[in-house]
Amino acid sequence: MMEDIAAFCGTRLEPGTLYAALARLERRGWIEALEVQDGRRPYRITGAGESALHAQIKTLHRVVSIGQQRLAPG
Amino acid sequence: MQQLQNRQHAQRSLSRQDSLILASLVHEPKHALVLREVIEQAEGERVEPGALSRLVARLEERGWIEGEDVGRPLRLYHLTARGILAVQSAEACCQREQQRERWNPVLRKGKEYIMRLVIWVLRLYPPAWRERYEAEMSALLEQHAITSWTVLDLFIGAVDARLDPYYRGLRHPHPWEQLQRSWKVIGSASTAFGFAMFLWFLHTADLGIPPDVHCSLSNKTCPLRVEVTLLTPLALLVFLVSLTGWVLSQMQREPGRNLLRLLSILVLIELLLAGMPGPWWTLVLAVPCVALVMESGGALLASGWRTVSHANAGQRTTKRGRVRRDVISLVLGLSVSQSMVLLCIAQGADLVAWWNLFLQSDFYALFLQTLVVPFVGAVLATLTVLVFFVRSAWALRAVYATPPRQL
Repeated sequence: MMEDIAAFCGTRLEPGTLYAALARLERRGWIEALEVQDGRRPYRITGAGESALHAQIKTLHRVVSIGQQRLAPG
Repeated sequence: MQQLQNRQHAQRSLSRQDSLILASLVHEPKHALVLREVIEQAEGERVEPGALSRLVARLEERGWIEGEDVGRPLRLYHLTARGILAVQSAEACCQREQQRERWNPVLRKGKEYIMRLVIWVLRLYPPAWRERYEAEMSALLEQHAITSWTVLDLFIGAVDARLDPYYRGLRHPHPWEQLQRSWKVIGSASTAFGFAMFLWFLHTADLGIPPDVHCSLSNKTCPLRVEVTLLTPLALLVFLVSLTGWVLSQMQREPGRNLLRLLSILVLIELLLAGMPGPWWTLVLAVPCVALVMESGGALLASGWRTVSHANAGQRTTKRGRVRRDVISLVLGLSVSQSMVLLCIAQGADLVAWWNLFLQSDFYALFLQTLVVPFVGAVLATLTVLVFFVRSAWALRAVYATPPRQL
């Protein structure tokens, strides 16, 4: 997960920050932990998590489009 | 310079899968399907096509690999000059790391210590959090390159979790754990009280204060033999801070090493006292005596905990024996706390009696340092003992109310 995040956004999370986020997301029911495989515990996004992510992306799109409109010359 | 920075950035942001792809393209160009097989063989798990295309796209974006159309549906990928540089620098970095590991045992030892520090920082997280995440986070940390930022980040995470109302609401330790913690805090606070009393009597003797004070103090001369400096309150402060840390660590760790930890605190006290003025050898002899008494008291106080601990381990003593030990512990706790209250009252009365006398002299500040600081320490220790004595009695009641199979 840490490597994936580092790959797509260039930020390498430290374990403390990562697990603080995981604990928050799990508590909100947006992700769920699966059974441990080879000493690692995978996590999966839930339906509620997907809805929350869609809503967040929608908001970000709106912010981006309004920002681009306002920054456009003329 | 810019090139060097780019190279360092490349080393930092090269993931394991990136390295696998780059290394497999060193000798010959390959299709995406072959790259996928290479990663799957090395990682031992399936790689989804979407994940692979993201990996490849990222490497292409960085200019490390290039795809070319060779008339077939799949593109053929090969390393670029920048990609070769990235592989070389990653290899050089890896070799340097290996050499450092091989030839520098101090570094290896240092890493072990850092790992211990990290495990210690993990103990600062709330119990409920640790129960859920500690194991997997420890496994992750063992594979993680630990830096000072990692330790700081963990510390901030621990503080954040401690302040989180969710985890505070989950703090319902078992009565046995509550009892165990209470005994430890009582033992530690009693030790602190003993030290405060020791300082108090030492300084009243040093200042030469008789029970009935007849001497009149002028502004310029003072008949008191003053040999105490600023080191005294400093020593007490360091002692109390160390003791607080010790108590906190005791609460988190496995029992059974109380004596060893107490001895380390005693060494600290001795070192501090050795730096103080006055007949140091008297102090060096007196402190272990006080400590021995306090340790015996602590051991007696902890007897209740030991009984319950044995019951927990399946080595259950007879119920009669358990009750007897717990009653002894309670009586001892009560007598210790009451004695401390009485001593504090006596100290307070002495302070009031001497207050006006010292107000008239130049030694007011010294008076505050030498007598008020031990008095405040003793009062705080007494309050701690009282609070935790009530808590221990409450926990003991809960332990007996809990069915044995749950102990």
